[in-house]
Amino acid sequence: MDYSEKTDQDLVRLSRRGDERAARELVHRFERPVFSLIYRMVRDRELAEDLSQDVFVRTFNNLDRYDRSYKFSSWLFKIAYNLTVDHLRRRELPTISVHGAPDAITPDRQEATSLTLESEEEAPDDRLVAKELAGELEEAIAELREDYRTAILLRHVEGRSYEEIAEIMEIPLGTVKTYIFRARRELREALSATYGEPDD
Amino acid sequence: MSDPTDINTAHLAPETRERIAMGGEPGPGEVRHLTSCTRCRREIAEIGSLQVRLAALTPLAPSAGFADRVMARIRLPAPAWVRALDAIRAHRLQASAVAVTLIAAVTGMLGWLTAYPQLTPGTMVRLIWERSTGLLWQGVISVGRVLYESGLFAFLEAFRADLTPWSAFGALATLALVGTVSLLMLMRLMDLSPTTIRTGVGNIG
Repeated sequence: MDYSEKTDQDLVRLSRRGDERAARELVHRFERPVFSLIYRMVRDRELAEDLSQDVFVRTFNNLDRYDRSYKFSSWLFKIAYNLTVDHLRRRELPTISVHGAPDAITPDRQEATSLTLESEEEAPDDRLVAKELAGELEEAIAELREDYRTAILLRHVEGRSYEEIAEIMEIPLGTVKTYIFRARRELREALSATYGEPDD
Repeated sequence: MSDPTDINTAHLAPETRERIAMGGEPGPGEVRHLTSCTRCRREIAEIGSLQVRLAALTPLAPSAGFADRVMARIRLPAPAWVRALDAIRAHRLQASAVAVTLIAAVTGMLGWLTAYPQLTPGTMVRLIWERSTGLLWQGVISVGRVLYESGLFAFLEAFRADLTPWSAFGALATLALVGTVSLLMLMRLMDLSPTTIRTGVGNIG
């Protein structure tokens, strides 16, 4: 039986029946996307590996709770996002957007809520430790606040729809649009500063 | 900074700009707008450029053996055959009884087929069918005979002959009374009230 040709749903069904090869195929299929997302969120390879393992363990140990009306990948990313955010919040890391709270609509409100805090645990140089994440774009992504970062990565790297992102992050669709719009704006500003591209 | 060529006040919606930037075909109205709107064109170009750069980010992979480490930690449900074996182990006595019965049946069948080789499976099925339908009819006839001999038919015939409208009404009224009283007694015994019955039905629905 060629498991690589099976759909995610088929593999989930087989895994639920105890088929280890189906579970392994699901791990192979999603280890890179899940690890990439988490690594770009936490910027620490070892921690990203541990969290990614926890994501898969939690996913498979709760497979009987999976609602088949959702995409398996959305459910998996939701677990990954929740675990990572929980971890980051426990560590109280690292920055808040320079553009203020996501629900700040007016410029005054954005200004009132805008600030930049840097983690005391993480020196600026530490961000460059991982060679893989040393590119300007990766640096710009790292500067985004965690929910903007998740939204933009899910949208543009993983190719998820707005609806899926809303499901994964458990936020309204309008908020997803706001996050992505602001993340793009911050990325553009960061990159134009690096390359000296004309600003709006 | 405002663009002198930007004469549009109603720009394309952010979702539309993103759709076009990510390869979606613009509609005729959108094309018309884009022809004259520098701002939307620039926005689409910027989103497109960002999309290309983000999509080209190095795919990151966990270290070798990641899947093995995950597999070592997860608890999948046991396969069906393992669960069946566990169930057999848990109910040894019943499983042994079923196994002995099956073995006895198969052995008996094989013995019979060996002793009577002319009995093909088709002949056996036909014999079993004939014998079972014969038994069924005998049963029906026997019940009919017992009822006839008990005098029930004679009683019903006599009852029908004596039936008048008043006696029929009396019989029906008695039947309704007895039925209602029985139902009420049953509900009392089962601790049911019309309210609880309605609620129960509502919950099921």
